Amino acid sequence: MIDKTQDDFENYLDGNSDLSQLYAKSRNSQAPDNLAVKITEAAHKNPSAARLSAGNRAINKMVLPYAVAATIILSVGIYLAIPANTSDIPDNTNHLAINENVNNLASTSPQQESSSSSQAQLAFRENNTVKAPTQRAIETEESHQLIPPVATESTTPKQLADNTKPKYIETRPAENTIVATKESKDQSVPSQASVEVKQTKDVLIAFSNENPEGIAPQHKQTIEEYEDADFSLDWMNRLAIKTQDNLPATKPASSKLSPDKWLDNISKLHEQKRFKEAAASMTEFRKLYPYYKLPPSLKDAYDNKK
Amino acid sequence: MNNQDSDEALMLRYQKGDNQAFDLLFNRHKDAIFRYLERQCVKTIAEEIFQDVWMRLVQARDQFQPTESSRFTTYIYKIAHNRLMDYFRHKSVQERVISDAHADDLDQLPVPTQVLPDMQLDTQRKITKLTELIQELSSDQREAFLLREESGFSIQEIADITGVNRETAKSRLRYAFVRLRDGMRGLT
Repeated sequence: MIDKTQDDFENYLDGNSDLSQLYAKSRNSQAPDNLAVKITEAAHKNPSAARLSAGNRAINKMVLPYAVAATIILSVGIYLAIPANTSDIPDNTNHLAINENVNNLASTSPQQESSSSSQAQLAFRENNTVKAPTQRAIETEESHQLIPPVATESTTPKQLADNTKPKYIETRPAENTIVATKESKDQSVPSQASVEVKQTKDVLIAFSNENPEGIAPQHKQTIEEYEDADFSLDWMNRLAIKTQDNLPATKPASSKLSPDKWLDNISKLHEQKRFKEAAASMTEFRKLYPYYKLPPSLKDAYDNKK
Repeated sequence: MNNQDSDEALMLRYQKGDNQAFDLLFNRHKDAIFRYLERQCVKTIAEEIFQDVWMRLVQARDQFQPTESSRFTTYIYKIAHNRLMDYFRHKSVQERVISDAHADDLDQLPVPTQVLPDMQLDTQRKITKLTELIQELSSDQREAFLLREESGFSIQEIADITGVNRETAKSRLRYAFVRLRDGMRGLT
């Protein structure tokens, strides 16, 4: 039976089949004439369109390479246009703003002098706060100690005037003078920036002598807001230092140390078998640096206790 | 122009802008392709696909590169097959619809009368039966059978057009043949 089927199928494939002959007789349907006309007309029209589309294809082939080239050129251009280190950009805006403030101050009447001086002082602070004092102060602990916080909850405007401002006035232009001195070393002549800073310093010192009340409360608030808005990449460091600043006055002197030095001191206390002091110091340390990794010697003594 | 030119030669001429070559090509294959489509879906859809197949050929004629293994007929039936599959997928048709128009065709068959000789009546009855049996085949078997009968494709060519391997194509065609032969046995 299978052989017969196979034979029949082979015959069918060879074309010697009744089935094929019968099917051939059933081929009675044809493609509709209206469709045939439509297709041939479209096919006859198409050569020009096809040639056109061939041209378009040639253009389309070039679109991708051109797009890629344009993207690369733009990227390189943007890359070259942006300096590698943004700190290389000369901060002329500060100097210009200072100069403008000084000129405004000089041109004001005696009645307006007080308020103008205050504005000039505020402008000076704001302009210099773009990169300093907070940001620069954070970079080194020493500079942080030189520049106390501009305003804290515990300080009154008077205290701010008595304690903060004079130091600040003495400190900030000095820093700027250092910068200006570097510039003048390079150029062998006093730079415009150093002259401007000196002028501003004189004006602000004069202002502070005339206005012992110091910075007005609304200005203090503005400065606080500005500091709050002054985000940068090392905000966590600043936060840590601010936390240190806000600690009560009774905080141990060790908190001024770096974590490693502090831990060294604790280790030394341990070696000297002053365990109570070491434990107290460690407690304070943990308040400030709860997740700081301890050295193995201290880790055994403290982390294991927990 | 020589009417005996091969399909491939005509297509190459048409690529160069010879419209008469296209006319010859079209007249050679239009009915077979139409029947291939018509026996697998309703007539209106078959007409739509038929037109679309030829228009795609016209638009993509520059892409046609005849080789020993790739004939013009294989090329155009492949377009037809793919277009048909697109339609089935688009409509989510699981079972291919038996042509309503085909039923009309059956109705339009010459009515047996006493005027017709017995031999003609017998042939007509067989054709009707064969048409019914073809519609009862599975879609894959029917397509394989139609490709074989309408254009005389080899098993390998059927496999190429339908996108399956040679053994699958041969199996489909064999099952189709056996079912049709067995169905027709009572009439012969």
